[in-house]
Amino acid sequence: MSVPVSGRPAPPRPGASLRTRLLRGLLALSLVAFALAVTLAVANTRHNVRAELASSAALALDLVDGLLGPVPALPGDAARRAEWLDQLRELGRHRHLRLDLLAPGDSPRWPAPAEAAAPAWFAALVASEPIQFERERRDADGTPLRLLVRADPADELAEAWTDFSDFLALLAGFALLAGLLVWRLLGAALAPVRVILGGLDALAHGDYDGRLAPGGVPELDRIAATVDRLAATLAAGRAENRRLAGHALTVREDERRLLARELHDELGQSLSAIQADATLIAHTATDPRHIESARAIGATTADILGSVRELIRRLHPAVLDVLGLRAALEQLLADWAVRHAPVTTRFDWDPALPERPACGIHAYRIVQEGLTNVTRHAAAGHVELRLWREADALRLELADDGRGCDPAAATDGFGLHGIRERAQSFGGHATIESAPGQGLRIHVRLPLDG
Amino acid sequence: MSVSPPPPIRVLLVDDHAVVRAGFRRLLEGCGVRVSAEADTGEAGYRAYVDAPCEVVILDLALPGRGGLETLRRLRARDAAARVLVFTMHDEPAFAEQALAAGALGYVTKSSSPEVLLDAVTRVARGERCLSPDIAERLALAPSGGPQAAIEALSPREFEIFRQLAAGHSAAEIGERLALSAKTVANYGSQIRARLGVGSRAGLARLAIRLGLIEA
Ligand SMILES: Nc1ncnc2c1ncn2[C@@H]1O[C@H](COP(=O)(O)OP(=O)(O)OP(=O)(O)O)[C@@H](O)[C@H]1O
Ligand SMILES: [Mg+2]
Repeated sequence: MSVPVSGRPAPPRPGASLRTRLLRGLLALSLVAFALAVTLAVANTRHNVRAELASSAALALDLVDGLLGPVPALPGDAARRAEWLDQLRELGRHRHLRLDLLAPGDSPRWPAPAEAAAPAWFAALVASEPIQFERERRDADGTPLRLLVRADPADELAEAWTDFSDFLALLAGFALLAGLLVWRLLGAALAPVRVILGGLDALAHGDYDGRLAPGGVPELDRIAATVDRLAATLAAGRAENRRLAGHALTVREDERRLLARELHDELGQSLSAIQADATLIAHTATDPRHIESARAIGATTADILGSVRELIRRLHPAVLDVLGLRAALEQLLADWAVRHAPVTTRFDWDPALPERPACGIHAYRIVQEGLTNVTRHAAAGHVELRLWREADALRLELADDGRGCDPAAATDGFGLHGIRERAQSFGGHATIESAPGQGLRIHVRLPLDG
Repeated sequence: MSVSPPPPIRVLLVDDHAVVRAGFRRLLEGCGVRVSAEADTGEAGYRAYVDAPCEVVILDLALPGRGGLETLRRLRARDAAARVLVFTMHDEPAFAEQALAAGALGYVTKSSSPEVLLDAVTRVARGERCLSPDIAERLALAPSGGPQAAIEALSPREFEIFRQLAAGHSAAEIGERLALSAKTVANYGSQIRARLGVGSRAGLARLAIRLGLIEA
């Protein structure tokens, strides 16, 4: 979760995902295609319906002329004329044609138009007004008659609608299928992107060990491989840094140990020898001035010796080299407790641990740093130091019951950071566990073979 | 000064620094103590003691080879009555505890005034325990895991074994004195340590010193 940092421009709001954008485009395209198809289909249908109706009407009229012959005259031949008319109407039952014969002054008797199977909007678009044709005829008497042909588009419309709706269904089905396909394909194609994002996120959190699985898309696999190389480079850089830091620490500790030994072996011993002679002179001299000088030499030497002792103590814990880690830590904790009465302490040592592990000085320094922090920050009443063996590692836990802190927020100092770095430089690790009011606990694992 | 009249105390001086040996030989002899032999390593010191036992062995801890503590143990194993006065630059109580646990009678730091050493030589020669003031103070201050109540809860036999262990006697020695096997004494020892919450023999010594059960 990232909070925009003031001073830096806020990152642009993330847009819709690629998948959503593609689908939206596809939908728009389908809609346009749909509209075009409808327009075209409507125009076609309209044209076809009209042409169809016109040609059937013409055909019907020709048929009437050819099949039924002249119209019998009325007053004389009423029966024959009625029969003729019936035949005419019988012809009109054919599909969507209606035929009628009108004497002057008659009005046509159309049956109610058939209920169209097509929806009204379609009928309206295609213009479904019935089409009427008429032709002049005379009956046997020469009376002018009007022969009417009325073509009802309902059937044509129904037919056109069926075609049209099938086409629309096909189009919709196609659009749907295309959408699904795009969704699935993109999902599959973008899966490696998610993997890469996960990998980059891990990198951002300092985890350089993961490797990205290839996703089968060559371009993305190349990116994944580059991310992997980046991680490997970072990991190598970090390892190198740790190695250098570890080396620097080792060199420093060695240097300090040597210095302490030199002070102990050369300076300290010689000073104590000087003291011996000064004391002897002070005891045996007869001249009071000599006695006084000898005493002064003794006193000055004692002062220097005191400083040298303090220096040695600060440089390197001699107990660690001679008596081992357990004695050194016991001593460290005991000295600390004396200076911080009435804080109580507890020390636990697992006898399965070697007395002089190679990582001893680091365990010692970590405890020193931890105790300094307890002094400075914790206001603790009780401190516990536990060491035990776990497989090939030394485990150390330093816990206090003081005021604790939020370990994520406590990052300005070098103490806790140094503890972590020291542990990591020697192939181990350290974690700090704390919460306000809950005390603080340092867990350390250091390999024993290192 | 507190230098005894004849017969002079004979001491063996074991220290790897010639300046120190020379300086303290002059001082000791100037104050009526006889330095009967000198050695610059633990092995040489051990051999010198075997060849010609003396009243007090003044022993440095930082010795090449086996080291002072190991030499101390060997001397005590060879002669349970050997009176050893540790004389060293190390002023951490842990060293004193270890030395006392290994059977040293005295512990004097080289930063102490030389009079302290002279005094300690005569006291150790009499079989008295003697610590230089800096060490005595730090040992007495050092907190220890075992509370007084736990000591009082020990049975008389456990208490006796505790006292003797703290004084630096070996399990075999204690067993002989109390007519127990060394193994039984060792078992008692770990039981006592567990009950007093003390991790080591040095811890027992420190506890005993703090409680005044053995003299600092
Ligand atoms: N034992 C503790 N109890 C409570 N808070 C602690 C404890 N140890 C550390 N902290 C908190 O963690 C912070 C970081 O500790 P750290 O040791 O890294 O730095 P520091 O002690 O402030 O400075 P320095 O670099 O001198 O050690 C401290 O400032 C303190 O707030
Ligand atoms: Mg700190």
